[in-house]
Amino acid sequence: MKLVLAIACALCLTLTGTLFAFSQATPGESYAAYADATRNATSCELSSCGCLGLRCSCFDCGK
Amino acid sequence: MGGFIAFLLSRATGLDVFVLVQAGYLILGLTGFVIVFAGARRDLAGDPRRGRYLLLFLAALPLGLAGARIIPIVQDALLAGRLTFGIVASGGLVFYGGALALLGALRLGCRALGLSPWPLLDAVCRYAPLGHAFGRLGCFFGGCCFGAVTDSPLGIRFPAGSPAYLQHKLAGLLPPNAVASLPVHPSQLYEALGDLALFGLLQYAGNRRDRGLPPGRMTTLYLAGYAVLRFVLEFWRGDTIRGVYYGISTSQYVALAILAGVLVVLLRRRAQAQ
Repeated sequence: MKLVLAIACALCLTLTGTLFAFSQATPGESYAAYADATRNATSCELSSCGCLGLRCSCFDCGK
Repeated sequence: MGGFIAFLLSRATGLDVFVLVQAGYLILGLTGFVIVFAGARRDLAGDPRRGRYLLLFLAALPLGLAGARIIPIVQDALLAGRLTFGIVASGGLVFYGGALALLGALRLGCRALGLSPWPLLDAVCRYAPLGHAFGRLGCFFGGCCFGAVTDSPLGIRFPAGSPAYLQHKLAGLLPPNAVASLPVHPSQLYEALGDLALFGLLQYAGNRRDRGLPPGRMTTLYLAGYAVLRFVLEFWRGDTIRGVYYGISTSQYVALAILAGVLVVLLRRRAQAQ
C-alpha cells in the first residue's frame, strides 16, 4: 500500500508540474487558434457550470 | 485549461471538445474518490465491521454530493431571482459543503447502526487530502477555482471561453480581441500541492508508533489542517463565483467556523481528561 500511495503522490506531482509547464509554454498563437475555433460557440457549449466552468448554464442558457 | 487541451486532443482524435473536458474532469475526480475509498478500505482491514463501514460510506456519497450542490444552488437562485429546474440540475460543486455533509452523514449513519464512527471517519480523513489533490487537478483542467490576477512568473493564462477569461471580459479587463485571460495564480495547483503536504503530515501522524492517535484525532487533524490551508489559499483565489463578503470568502468563513469547532472539541476533551 505504501508503494501505491507513493506512486499516487508521484503521479499527482507529475501531473501538477506537467499542467503548469504546459500552461506556461503554450504560445499565444495556439490560444488565438482556439479562440477562432470557438468564436461562434456559445459559452454554454464550451463548458458547463461551476467546477467545469460557467454560471451561465444555470440560467443564461434558458435551461 | 482543459478546454484548450481538449481542443488539441479533439483535433487529433476527432472527438467532441466538450466530451473530452467532461472526461478529463471526471477521470481526475474519480481517481481521487478511488484513492480515498481504497485507503479507507485498507485502514479498516482487520476490523470485523469493515463491510458495514464501507457500505455506509458508499451509501452516504449521494448525501455528500447533495451537500456539495446546496451552496451553488442557493447562490445561483439568489442571482437569478428564481429557482428553476436548470439551477438545481446543472451547476458546480462546493468541496466544503460536500465534505461536511458526507462526514455528518457518516457519523449519523454509524450512530443509527450502533457503530463507533471514528474508525471510519479517521480512515476517510486520512486519505481525503490525496484524493482532493487529484480533484484540484480536475479543477485546473476544467478552469474553475482560478486564482487572482498576478504579474508573478507563476501567472498563467486561461484560454477564451474559460471562466477566468469570461470573468475578466465581463469586468472590462480584456481588449476586444483578447484570446486568453489575464495571468492568474494557478490556485488549483497551489491547493493540490498543499493537499499533498497535508496528506504527508497526516501519514506521519498516523504512522507514529510510539504513541498512536486516539480515536477521532485524525479527523480533527484533517479538519483543522485543511481549514488552515484553505483559509490561507483563498487569498490567492480570484473567482468571484465563490462569494466574497466583507473581504472574506464563503470558504474562509466555513474554515474559521471549523477551526472554532475543533478548538471547542479539544478544550472539552482536555477538561474531561482533567
